[in-house]
Amino acid sequence: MRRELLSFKQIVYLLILFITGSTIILPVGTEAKQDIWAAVILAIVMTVPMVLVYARILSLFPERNLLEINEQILGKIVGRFINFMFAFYAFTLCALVLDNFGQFINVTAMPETPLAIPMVILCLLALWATKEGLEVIARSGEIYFPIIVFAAAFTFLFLTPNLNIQRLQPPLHQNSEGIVSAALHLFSFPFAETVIFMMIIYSSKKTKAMTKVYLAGLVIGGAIILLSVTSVMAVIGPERYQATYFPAYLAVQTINVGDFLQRVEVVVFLIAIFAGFTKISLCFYAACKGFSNALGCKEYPFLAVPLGLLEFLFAANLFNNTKQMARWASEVYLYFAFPFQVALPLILWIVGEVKQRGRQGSPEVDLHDESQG
Amino acid sequence: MTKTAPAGLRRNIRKSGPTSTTEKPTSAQGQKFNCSLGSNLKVIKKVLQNDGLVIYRKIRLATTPLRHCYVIYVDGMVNGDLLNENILRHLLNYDVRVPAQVPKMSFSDVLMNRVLSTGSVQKDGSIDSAIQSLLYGNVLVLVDGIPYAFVIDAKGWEIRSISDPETERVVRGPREGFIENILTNLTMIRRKMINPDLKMVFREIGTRTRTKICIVYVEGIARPEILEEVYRRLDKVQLDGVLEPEYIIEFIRDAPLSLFETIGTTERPDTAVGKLLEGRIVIMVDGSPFAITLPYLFLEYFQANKDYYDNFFYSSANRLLRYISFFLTTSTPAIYVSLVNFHQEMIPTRLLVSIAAAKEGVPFPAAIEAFIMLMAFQLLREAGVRLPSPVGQAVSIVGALILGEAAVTAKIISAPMVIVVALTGISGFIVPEMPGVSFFLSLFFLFACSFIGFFGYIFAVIAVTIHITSLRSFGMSYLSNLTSIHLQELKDTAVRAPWWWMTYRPRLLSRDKRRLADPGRTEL
Amino acid sequence: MKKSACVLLVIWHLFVLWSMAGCWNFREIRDLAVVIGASFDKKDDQIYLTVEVLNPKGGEQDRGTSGSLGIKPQLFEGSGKTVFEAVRNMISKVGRKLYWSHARVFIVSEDVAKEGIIQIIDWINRDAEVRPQTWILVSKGQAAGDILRTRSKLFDTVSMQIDTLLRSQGNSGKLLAVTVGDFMEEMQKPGVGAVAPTVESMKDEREQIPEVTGSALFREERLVGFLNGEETMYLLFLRNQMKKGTLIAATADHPKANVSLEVFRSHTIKTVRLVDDRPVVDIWIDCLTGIAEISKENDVISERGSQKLTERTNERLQNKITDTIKKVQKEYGTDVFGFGNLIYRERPDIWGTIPKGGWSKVFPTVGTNVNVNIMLRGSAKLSEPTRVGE
Repeated sequence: MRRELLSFKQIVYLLILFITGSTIILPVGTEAKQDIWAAVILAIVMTVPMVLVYARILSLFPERNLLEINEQILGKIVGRFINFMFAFYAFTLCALVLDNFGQFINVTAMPETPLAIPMVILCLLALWATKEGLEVIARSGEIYFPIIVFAAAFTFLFLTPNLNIQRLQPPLHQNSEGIVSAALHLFSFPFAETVIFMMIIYSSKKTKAMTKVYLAGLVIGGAIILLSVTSVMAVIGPERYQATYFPAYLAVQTINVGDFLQRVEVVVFLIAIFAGFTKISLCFYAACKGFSNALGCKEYPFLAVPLGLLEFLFAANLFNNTKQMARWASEVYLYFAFPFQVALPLILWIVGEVKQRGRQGSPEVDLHDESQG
Repeated sequence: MTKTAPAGLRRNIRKSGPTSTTEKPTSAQGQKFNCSLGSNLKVIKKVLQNDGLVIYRKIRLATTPLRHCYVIYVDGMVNGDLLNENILRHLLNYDVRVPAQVPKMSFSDVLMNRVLSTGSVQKDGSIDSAIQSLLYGNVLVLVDGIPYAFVIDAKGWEIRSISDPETERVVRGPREGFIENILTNLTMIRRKMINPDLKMVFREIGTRTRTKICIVYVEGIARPEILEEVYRRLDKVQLDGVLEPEYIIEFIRDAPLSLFETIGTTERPDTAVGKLLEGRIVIMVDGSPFAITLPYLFLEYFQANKDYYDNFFYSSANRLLRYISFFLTTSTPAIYVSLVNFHQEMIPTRLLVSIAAAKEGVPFPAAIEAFIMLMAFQLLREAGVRLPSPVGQAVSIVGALILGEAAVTAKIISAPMVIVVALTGISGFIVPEMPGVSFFLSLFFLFACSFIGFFGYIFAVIAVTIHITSLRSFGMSYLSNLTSIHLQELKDTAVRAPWWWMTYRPRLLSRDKRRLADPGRTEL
Repeated sequence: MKKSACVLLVIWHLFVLWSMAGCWNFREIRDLAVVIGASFDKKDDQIYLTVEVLNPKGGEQDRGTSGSLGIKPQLFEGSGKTVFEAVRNMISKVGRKLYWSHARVFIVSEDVAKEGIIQIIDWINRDAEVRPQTWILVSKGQAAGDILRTRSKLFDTVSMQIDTLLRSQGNSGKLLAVTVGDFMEEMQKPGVGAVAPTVESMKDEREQIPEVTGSALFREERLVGFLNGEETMYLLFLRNQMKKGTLIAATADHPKANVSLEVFRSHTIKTVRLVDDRPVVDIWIDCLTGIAEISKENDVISERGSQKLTERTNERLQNKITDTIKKVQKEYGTDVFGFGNLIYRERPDIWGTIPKGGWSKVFPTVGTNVNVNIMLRGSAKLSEPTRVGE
């Protein structure tokens, strides 16, 4: 009963929703200017080895998630401390996404409504979803996914008349610094944030499957980001992209089909809230699991309510204005997330590999190949 | 026009448990018949005190020594011809004193084998259960010196004739609907499925009404776990009276407080058999023309039996229409209110001006208007249902034309709101199985939208999604066929694929997944 | 018991939340003053704002008599130190909150544009309600408010007329429609000068009506000059924005014997090359046309005749376009053709050699090489020029 099993398809959907979640509304990769597509591709390429490490850790310890793995290989005290840190990371990430959407709704559509209102509602919904369990989140994801794909396809279709390839020119000209910097930011947000999933899912016996799932989610989610970000860039151009907090909103504003289908941006971004909500509830779920583990409890739902209220307070007081949010995203977040996204997983992987080898005597051959990435 | 119920079809009704009659003061609980006719009769008469319907017919049998016997039945519940011709007449005429053609057998065997020429005769030693049978329309024959009663099945009461099912009419397809008699209903199911795998298990529910229910399933298709769960839950029902399936449904359903139904009902034998073939379990309840079907999934709101009788292109279009109308009936008022009160930029300029002109002078905000109109619509609907159809039409004319038009002219309601509510109401009728759900959902969405516009709508949708995904019906996830994008599943969800293409039964629901032995259509 | 109390508490809180939230972004339609167009003037450091507001009440009265839903626009004026202040000051005059999402047209007076347009553009792009898809125009030689004070004959409001006109970009080929968003992008983009159409109020019969005449050229944020309608057509050719259904006139052999050509499709390709360290832009214009009108009996349909016609038209168009480029280069010095952007996009290496902010100095020296290729598709319904009987 404690184990909540997800199908692989569900995990892939969740990964895609998680990656696209808040990314599509925010100005990601502004440093790369018109070469943003290159930055996204580079970021995906950079994330692939990391994701292989994540998958590898999970498949080294079947039937266990990151929290239990930590406890197992780092010992109870250190492991729980690390779990606490991871939970805090998930908690912060959840607050950030909440704040993003709160700001987004506030700035674009509801300037007179207090920021806290949409945030508290989203928070309560995430809390409820978490109480109902991972399976509910996953199933909701399965419902949202086709809606989002449908909406995205139509949005893209309607945007095509406004796409202008000239806005992406000159390609790759003396901009390597910008591209790399943008790719690093894109790596830490959103791609390597998938480290959160390690706290949620666990591998069954099949070792290859985890890798496949992680890669599929990353590549499809990355492709969606690539398409959306590039088309936004081709619609509004690098100057306006840089100048606005919510570039995709600006791009969708230009949709005008036959003069009756216009001013639809609210609808388009309503649907983005589905993805954002999935991301929020996944992070919140991970935070709940992490904290309950750090406190040495077996069950997590009892934490949902207090943690949810705390989450709301945290998110509501995180930033004073949209500018701070943007600055945090562009200047601080990369360094904040680095230990969780790269350093700790790498350490865990090495320790886990050594321990596993010591225990098994001779490791299987194909495991070795997989970790090359 | 009435008919009599076919008597003696199946009589494997389970004996009522010892717990069922505890508080009855005059019960014959645990008492057995003894050899004395007088004392037996006394007990029975005492139990059935003040029951004017019970008739005791005393007969002197032609035996040595002289014996008396009593034929006891409930007036109006037995088939008079059967009683007169096959029971009373034989008892009166048969001379058991002539043993010439009779081989050596006891008197009771003689009665059973030579005299009582009806379909089903059983011996019953317990007074309690004999009375039970008596009240169910059986004839009791008590004979002096025999320590049990003969229970003769001669049921035959007045029942409604089989007619078109009112709630699920179809243009094409069978026209018969269930009636109030469980036996007739079961025969209708049996006639459609001539297969020994079709199992019918009787039970009795209701400590006072002792209503017969029958659990029908197809062995080999229905999943034993679900069946097990049904029995387990039925065992726990402690209710004194069951008059309609809903009495049971509310006891055994999952998520009892949910708006969404996790157990379905149908009035049509063909639908019931269709569900049986998909691996579902049907429970018939005596006294109601509605059968319970379970597990019930969200999708079944949108699957109508006529989908399977019509051309599949047409059916698929209809099904899509039903999805759309579900969206419309739940969301139109909410979307209208969001547009008018929060997102005016989305309304084309000219429409904006005309809405503004229409709203000029209307004192209420759009949300209140919508609420008033939705309520008015529900009032009219409810009034129309209760009234006989000619009056019902008058009510709808008054409601639609006079109320609507007058309200607009009097500037109580704006004209666009009338259109919105009419659209809501009309599309609500396209998915008739969920009037409650769609009404409450539309109110909920309206409430959410009057709060922060479209964002409220989306939050409400998320909330409903969380609720719906957490629902289960007898272990099955409520959305199980809907969420997974599975080609095989889509064949009977989004569209209705041709029959030769639906190779499998719904996944997870049935044990034997294969529907067609040979997938595809044999080339003709 | 405890649980139900909890549920009640939550419901109570939601209710309180709802009842408090009810009036944040809640706007009744009838309480809105829907702005359809606005104009910006400046006098003594004060911004004078004139807005055209749709009046539903007038519409309703109209409906009673004529059956169609008429809209009567109302004009309001307000002033303030900044645009936002002017907008807010106007509320006290209008009585309702101005609602900007449906605005179609913003007209900026010549004076404001000459001083710098950023103030207005910034407000439009920053405000959540105002949409960047609104058209921007410059009123030439007049106060912008006067344009809104004219009367549209066929349309309900002046703004709607201008909107419809710009949306189809007029089949006249002399209109350049620019939205605020495009304007802002061009203003910010390297190597392009922004352009906006100009609008004037003209006297027609006894009434003043609005007329979109040519285009206004901007250097950075300031207005530097105007192009008339014909020059705007050449600008459209150069910007590859020539649309279908446009007319160009071509002279044939006889003086006064004009032929009109209808443009079905036009495509412009620009490339850049370096000649003696000086950028030279080659422009190829492919234009598919058909004969729409032949004003005097002359042979332009036969193979020889049509060849002659195209040659003449090519030459004429080439000269005119080159003249326009020269004029802009010399007189205004703003790169409205996007040559700089072309270099930036296609030859970033050359762009790199130009010092930052130095393009305005280089632009007047850019050499151009215009090649026009007119193709004739047909002569509409008539196969011959209309002849006069002997």
